[in-house]
Amino acid sequence: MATSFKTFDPGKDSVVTRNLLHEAIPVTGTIISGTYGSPSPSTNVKNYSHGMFQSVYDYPYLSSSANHIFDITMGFSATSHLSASAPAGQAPTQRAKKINIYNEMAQVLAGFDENSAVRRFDEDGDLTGGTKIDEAYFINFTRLLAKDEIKKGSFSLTLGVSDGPAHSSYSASFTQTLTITDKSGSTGYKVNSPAGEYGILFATGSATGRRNAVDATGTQTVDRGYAKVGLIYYQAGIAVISSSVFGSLLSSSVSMSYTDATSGWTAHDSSSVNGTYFSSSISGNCDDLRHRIQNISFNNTTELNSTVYFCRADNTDFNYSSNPTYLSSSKMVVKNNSQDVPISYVTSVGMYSADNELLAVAKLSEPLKKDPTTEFTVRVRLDY
Amino acid sequence: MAYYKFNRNDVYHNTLKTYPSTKFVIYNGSAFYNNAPNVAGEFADPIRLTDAGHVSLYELNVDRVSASTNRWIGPRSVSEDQEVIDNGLIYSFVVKNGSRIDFRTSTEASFNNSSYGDIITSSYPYVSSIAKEFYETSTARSGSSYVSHLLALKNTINHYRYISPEFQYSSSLRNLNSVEVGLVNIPTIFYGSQIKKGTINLRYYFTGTLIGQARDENQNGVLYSTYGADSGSVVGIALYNEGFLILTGTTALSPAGTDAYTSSLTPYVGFGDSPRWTYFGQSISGTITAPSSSFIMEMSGTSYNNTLTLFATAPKGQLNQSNNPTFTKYSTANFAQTGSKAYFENDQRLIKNVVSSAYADPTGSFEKTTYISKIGIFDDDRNLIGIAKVAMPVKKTAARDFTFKIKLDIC
Repeated sequence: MATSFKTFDPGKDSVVTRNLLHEAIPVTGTIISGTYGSPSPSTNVKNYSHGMFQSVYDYPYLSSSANHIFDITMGFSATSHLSASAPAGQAPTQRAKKINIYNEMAQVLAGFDENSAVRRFDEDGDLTGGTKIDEAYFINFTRLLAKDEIKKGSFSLTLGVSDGPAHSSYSASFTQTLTITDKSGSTGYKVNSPAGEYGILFATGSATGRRNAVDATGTQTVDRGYAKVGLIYYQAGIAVISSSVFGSLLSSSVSMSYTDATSGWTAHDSSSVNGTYFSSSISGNCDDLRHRIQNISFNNTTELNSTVYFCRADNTDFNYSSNPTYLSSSKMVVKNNSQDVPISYVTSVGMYSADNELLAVAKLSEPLKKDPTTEFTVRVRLDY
Repeated sequence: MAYYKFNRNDVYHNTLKTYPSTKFVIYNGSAFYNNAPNVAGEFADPIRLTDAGHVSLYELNVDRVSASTNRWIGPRSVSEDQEVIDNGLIYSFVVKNGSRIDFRTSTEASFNNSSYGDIITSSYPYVSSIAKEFYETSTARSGSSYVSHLLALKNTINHYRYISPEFQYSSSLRNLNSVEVGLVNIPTIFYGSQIKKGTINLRYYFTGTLIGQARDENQNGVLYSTYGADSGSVVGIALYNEGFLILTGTTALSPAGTDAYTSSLTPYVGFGDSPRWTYFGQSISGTITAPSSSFIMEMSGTSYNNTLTLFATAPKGQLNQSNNPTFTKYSTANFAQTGSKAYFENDQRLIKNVVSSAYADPTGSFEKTTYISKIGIFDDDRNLIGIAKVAMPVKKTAARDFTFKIKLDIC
């Protein structure tokens, strides 16, 4: 119990700080496509009876060691051409659920307009018109990985966009790739979402091959440039990927089927992305996407909020101790004669409330020798 | 939405005191925690990148291995030191800046040598496990720039001397500076607030046969041998609050057999020695394997779990109105009208009758009915701070009242 107190001057003796801690999060496509369990179903990918999304784990989800990585789903808006009519020879599957999912994600991430209608995802984020993302995949990263937010400018998603005969195996899907990044995220992010800040996702094609990004006029160029293909919501930890990455962005649409002779996984869907969006189940579409993800990576951010208290021991302060061992026969044991200066050893700093209730104790790694010839400022940091 | 204030008798704070049991099996250089085996994954062995005797704090990097991918996470930089390398593993990092935040695992010198903007990395998993230190009679307890863990515990041990004379670092019984000592360190993550008194159970096996057992049967921290050659005598002490076992029993438990309890390298002695309590858990001490010996250490921890219990009452005659759009009949639309000076709503809107009857339509006689699906908990400033959901909506009529018991575990 302390017998002398010094009062903090709030304006001078304490300061609030914020530091950022990051984690590098790489997720390889082998995990996402289902490393565990061959043939399907993959034991690290959980499907639900409601069929509205899939959960992807980094290890078979029945194991206590498994970590939930992300949920994946898809949907399209009520104004999408997929909501209106059916391609020839195809019947809709889960159409209402797909629209509901789109609306649910849109109202949370994009909000409502002045007429209380759900905003559609806007490709450039200015909400003033322009191109809308009406058909999208949604990748919802868990809080375990995204933490407080995805670090702006660090998101990267590589998709395999190969097609044709080479697509007879899983690995052949990645002969040609698109890499999707939020390349302008660190400075060009948007703040007009109810879910926080978000950035525009841009795609660029692989060095070779026919699957290249196109310019604004739809012309395939030698300089492939960047095309807007989605949005990344940093605090929400959700990536919205336009289905155009497998369709209109490319010179010809990708067949979403996949066949992996090694795993025994057989063709699931064999039509274009529009066809699968319309006629395949949500989980089937999620399977399609998972088998075309080569790599996902991002850095996350955790905010460390701290208050630093500067505990000042002036030269005349704290030179005496109420410790029972400080005195022997009413004499200070650290003094050899009466003319010596008093000496104490500071081992801990107590932080008290205004009512002198002990709230916290800061311990020093080793005792500090204190006498009238020395002054200390002990810096106590409280993280929360 | 209706608000109700919790009364004094509606809020309870309870503390649940639990005693989770902990068991370590120590054999051949490894410890196994609570009988968990080492599990090999598809890529990594073991999958948690640490063996079964360790707890992994976040359990990240499950079944991952470090490998060169030639990729970077985030933008590349002109300086390699400012790039986040994708090595296949999740790892934490900070950017060196004016706050001088650093990881405890890196040295001050390396921090000072790095430039502002450089990436300073740490690595997962963060693990914890028991440890064993062996002090021979001649082992120095301190040096010019070194203090052993045993000597660092001197004040702590002496603090408990009111319990038993055994809790004296140096006394007429023995001086821990000059006798052989086995120090077992149990991190707090394994026992919580303190080791439960009377639950420590140490078993010493030699070639699979139990040759000694020690317990704190008096619940005062003094470990007595209860089985074997040294039965009935004191073999050590336990620091319940600090998580240390200090073993001092040196009587040979099985004079017929010997094991490699210490390194054969000089200056160590005792290679091929008889088993004794100071050697308990010795096979996790450094590179010692002691292949003929195995050990089991059991105890219970003490964990306090605070719970907040709230009773939320839905009284009779109240909470019978909903703002849900489906609460009113679809055919009676809102008909909201606005003018320069007024706003009108349809005051003839009908509440949908959901009372069931034996017939599909019409329904039964009208009765105010709502379904309670969740309860919001607000603070004094009416900020929503929690939501309790019921498994399925509860039908609420004017004649019914309910009390919902809401329990919040505070970890």
